[in-house]
Amino acid sequence: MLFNSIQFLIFFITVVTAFYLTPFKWRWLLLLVASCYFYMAYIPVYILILAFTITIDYFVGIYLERTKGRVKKLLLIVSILSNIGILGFYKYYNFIAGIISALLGHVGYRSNIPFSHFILPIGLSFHTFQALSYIIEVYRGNQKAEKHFGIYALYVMFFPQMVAGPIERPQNIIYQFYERRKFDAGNVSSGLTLMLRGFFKKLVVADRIAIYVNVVYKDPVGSDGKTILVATILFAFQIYCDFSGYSDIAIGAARVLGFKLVTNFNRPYLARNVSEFWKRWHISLTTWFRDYLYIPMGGNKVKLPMVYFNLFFVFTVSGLWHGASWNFVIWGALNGFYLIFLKLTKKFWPVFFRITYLDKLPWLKISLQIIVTTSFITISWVFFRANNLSDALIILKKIVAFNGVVMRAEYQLFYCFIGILILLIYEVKTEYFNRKFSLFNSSNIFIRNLSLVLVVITIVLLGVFDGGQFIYFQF
Amino acid sequence: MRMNTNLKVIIRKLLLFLALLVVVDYLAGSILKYFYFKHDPLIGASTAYVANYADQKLLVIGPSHALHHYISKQLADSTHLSCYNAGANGNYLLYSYAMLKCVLKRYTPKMIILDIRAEEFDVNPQGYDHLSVLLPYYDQHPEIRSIIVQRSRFENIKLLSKTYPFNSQLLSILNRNIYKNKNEFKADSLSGFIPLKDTIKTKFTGEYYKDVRTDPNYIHIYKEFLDDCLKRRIKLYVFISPILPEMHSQTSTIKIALKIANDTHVPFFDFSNDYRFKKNIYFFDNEHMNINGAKLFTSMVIEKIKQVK
Repeated sequence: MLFNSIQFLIFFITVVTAFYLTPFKWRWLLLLVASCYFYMAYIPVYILILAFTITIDYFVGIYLERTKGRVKKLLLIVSILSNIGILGFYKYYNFIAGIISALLGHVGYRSNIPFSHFILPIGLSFHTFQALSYIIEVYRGNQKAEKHFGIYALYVMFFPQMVAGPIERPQNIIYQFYERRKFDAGNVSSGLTLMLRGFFKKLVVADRIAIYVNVVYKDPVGSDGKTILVATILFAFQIYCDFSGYSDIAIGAARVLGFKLVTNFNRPYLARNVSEFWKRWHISLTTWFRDYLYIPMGGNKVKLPMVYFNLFFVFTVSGLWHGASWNFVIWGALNGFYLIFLKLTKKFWPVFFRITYLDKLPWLKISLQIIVTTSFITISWVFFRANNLSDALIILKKIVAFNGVVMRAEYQLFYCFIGILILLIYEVKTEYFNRKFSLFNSSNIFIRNLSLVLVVITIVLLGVFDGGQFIYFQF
Repeated sequence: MRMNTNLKVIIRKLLLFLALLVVVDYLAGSILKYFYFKHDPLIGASTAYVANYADQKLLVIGPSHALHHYISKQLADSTHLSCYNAGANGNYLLYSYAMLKCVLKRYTPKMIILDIRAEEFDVNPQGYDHLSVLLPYYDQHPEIRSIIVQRSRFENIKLLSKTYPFNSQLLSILNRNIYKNKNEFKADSLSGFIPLKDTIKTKFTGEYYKDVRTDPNYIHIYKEFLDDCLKRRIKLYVFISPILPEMHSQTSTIKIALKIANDTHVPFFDFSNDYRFKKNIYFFDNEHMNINGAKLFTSMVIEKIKQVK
């Protein structure tokens, strides 16, 4: 079920009403049934895969708590392998089969490795990582094993965040299922406002931009350099608004029900360097990799060359998490490379800002930092969005050539700019002038409501209502 | 007790919000409606013109192929009937049928040329999505409501909003009211026909059409179109315009459309694979003919009409 559909609105209103009317002891069941229904709206039979991993992880969690030493480690490995095994089969089988076939072809063998025709279960990477997070935390002793099967299943399947995050930690969410949630006007109001922000990002910005970007990236050979550049810049906003829009709706929906999910995006395009960008972008995934891969590898507490290797490795794996193709691997590796470069030049930048007097012009300095950071990130998005590696290279070449004209596509480009402009004004205002010109949090109830009504009208007027699903669903 | 207070607070907030939403939506929708229909219907906005004002004896109805391939003046001169080209970019059979219904509500043309694409009946969500151009007419034209609501399952609910019909129309309304787009002027002076000037450089090679599943609704609409014309004794001709790439076999659409036309005795002419048009000089792109192609094609259309007469 898509968040940006009338079906979801009907579903959500029904669930919220039923949730607050249901006695506390049955609410977990209501949420679990609702989550199953939500998930089964895609490919119903795939719920069996979820049921399988949930059952394994549930029992592994309980036994992990009771055992010690090698058996404990063995249980951890069993759980990790079963989760990663399913993810690997559905997501990476064809990629690996392709690599093996190509390698065998190079040494003269004709391989007949069959390719899989299974459709990737929606949000598989997300709930796999959420399940792994639980198992690792129980293994580490930071989280007690959940004895209530229904609550554990709900932890993996909680409908607002099950298909595209935020990837929750057990410490943050499981205890909330046990807390008596009282109907709170503040929660409902702020949750709905957050959902509205998400709908604006998705419908007005992301889906509008998608119309332009899809045309250009479908045929990069036939598109002019200037058009490709514009499409690439637009894609940076599309992916942000698509994914953070989903997160906003997810967090808002959970908040209406009284649950608090982790923040997933924090105005990433206002980051002043790539390192800061990754602290603001897809925070739940970045911290997942930090806690469960980067730090166990030694993190920053190893020799400098190993720190660089760790960074590069983790970001490359993160790229692979996003998709089974070389494009995603390169995208991840490129971001790892940016971070290494930033670490290598750490001492240079303060000197540079001093000798160029940018230190004395803080606004100019911040603006330049934001522009440079966003430019580097935008270049990496080319690999993320392009259909294949050769398309990505053509796109980069054409951007450098900067030839031809910018395709206007009637009014599409203008609509894109209007959406982006509204978004940027809101983000800059929130980042730098949070206490000033507050409309959505105005003490005047009329102004507050009118501001929200105007957002709704803007969505109705400028939004794309026949747009597709969220980009991150495919992960 | 606390829950009751909370509930009261949220209900009060929601009521205020909804009341404001209804008022602002109504105001915004009314303003947009005023400016949408304010500009002279002869200036651009072919949909507005066809739906509300067209009175020509000969109408060309269809997608962008119709718009760029049938020269109204040439048709009018040879048939001695006033002619308007009601073709529309990016619109397909559902739109064509809606236009027919609007026209038939007001008058009965003597002759209609319906242009369909060689893959008109293929499953194509755009055929439904693009009905958005008809949303502003939902209130005015009850006869096309059944077509408009096919856009999506919940279109009726969305249309409760007065602003929604003008979704994605804001800039076009501003443009029409302030600048009056040059192309639109051109369209008026040529009775709807919009010529394409450039010539394609590289022709598509390979298999241009891949037959996919057909949408039974499109076939049903096609039948309805033919039936409605026949009931009103309109001389109807169905054409499939030429395209530049070679087609290796007849598409499902062509086979089905031809059979239905034969069954109902409606003249049907398929130019999609006509060898005389397989030349770059006649085309703007793979699917659309330029003015050279349009001149040649219109003369052939006239010939065919005369043969039938």
